[in-house]
Amino acid sequence: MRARAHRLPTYAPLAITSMMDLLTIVLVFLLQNFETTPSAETFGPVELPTSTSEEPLIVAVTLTVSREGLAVDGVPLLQVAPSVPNGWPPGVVREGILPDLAALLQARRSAAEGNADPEDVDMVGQINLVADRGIPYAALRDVLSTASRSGFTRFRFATAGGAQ
Amino acid sequence: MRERRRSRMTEGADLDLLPVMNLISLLIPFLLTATQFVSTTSVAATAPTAGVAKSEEVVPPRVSISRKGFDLALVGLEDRPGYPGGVIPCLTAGCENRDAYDYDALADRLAWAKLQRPDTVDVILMPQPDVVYEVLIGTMDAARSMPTAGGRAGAVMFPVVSIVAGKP
Repeated sequence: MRARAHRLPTYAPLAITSMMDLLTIVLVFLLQNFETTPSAETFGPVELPTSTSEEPLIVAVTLTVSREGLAVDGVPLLQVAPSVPNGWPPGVVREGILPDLAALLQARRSAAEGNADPEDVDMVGQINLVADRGIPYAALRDVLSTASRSGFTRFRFATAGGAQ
Repeated sequence: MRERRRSRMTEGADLDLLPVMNLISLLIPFLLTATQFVSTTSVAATAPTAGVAKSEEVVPPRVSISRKGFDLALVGLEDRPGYPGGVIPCLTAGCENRDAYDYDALADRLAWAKLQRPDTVDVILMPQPDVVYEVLIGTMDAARSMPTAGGRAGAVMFPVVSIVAGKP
């Protein structure tokens, strides 16, 4: 009777082999789906338009235009909603240029040009534009115009894949 | 004594899976947070470059986008039979959303232009200020590849897009 009481606290070893199998399969699946390409850095709720294009985004400065404002590489720059259909409110935009954005882009361009890394040199003049699908072109026009005049003339519009 | 030692040597030690489990347990949450189930793609475009057009230079197709529909101009092809340029009205009045625009008709007409000038890869888009962004993307999609029976995924038409401000 006493010997039986001694046996009770003995536990069977935890069989983790099946769990290891499961975790390994999940890990392989996630590693396969892991993307090393840059993703769209968003600012505020942004609903991307769909497109049939399958080209990925590039490594470049990312401008986000949402219904809340404008951000550069995920950092808010202007927290003013672009008015529909006239684009940015007066004061924020002057003669088709967003002065704050222009200053920042020119600084980025100078920094990239001074960098000897070939990958950074390649990104000079390129921009990823992440914009909400309902944004009027007037708001984008001012952003594109500012970027263009700051030396960024090549754009990539971020879209959600899968459109037919 | 010898027998005892030999039996201990052949007895395999249990594999210590705990460090591996720790590693996997850390990797899985990281990968789960990094996983994108909606793939982000992109469409390329350029700002127009200033310059004087040469007389022999081919003028690319120009598509004006407004709240009335598309207006296609194919400079230099006007005298060809079957010239398809002109207004392509929206499918529904007011052009309220992306689906209201007739992208299939635009793609068909651009395909005609591509057949006339196979070497041209540029297209100029001129959206009006009140046109929403998704219509611009839809127009770029329509211009990029030839229309096919199963959707727009045919041969490449005009992949090089320049965007200029539309007529005020």
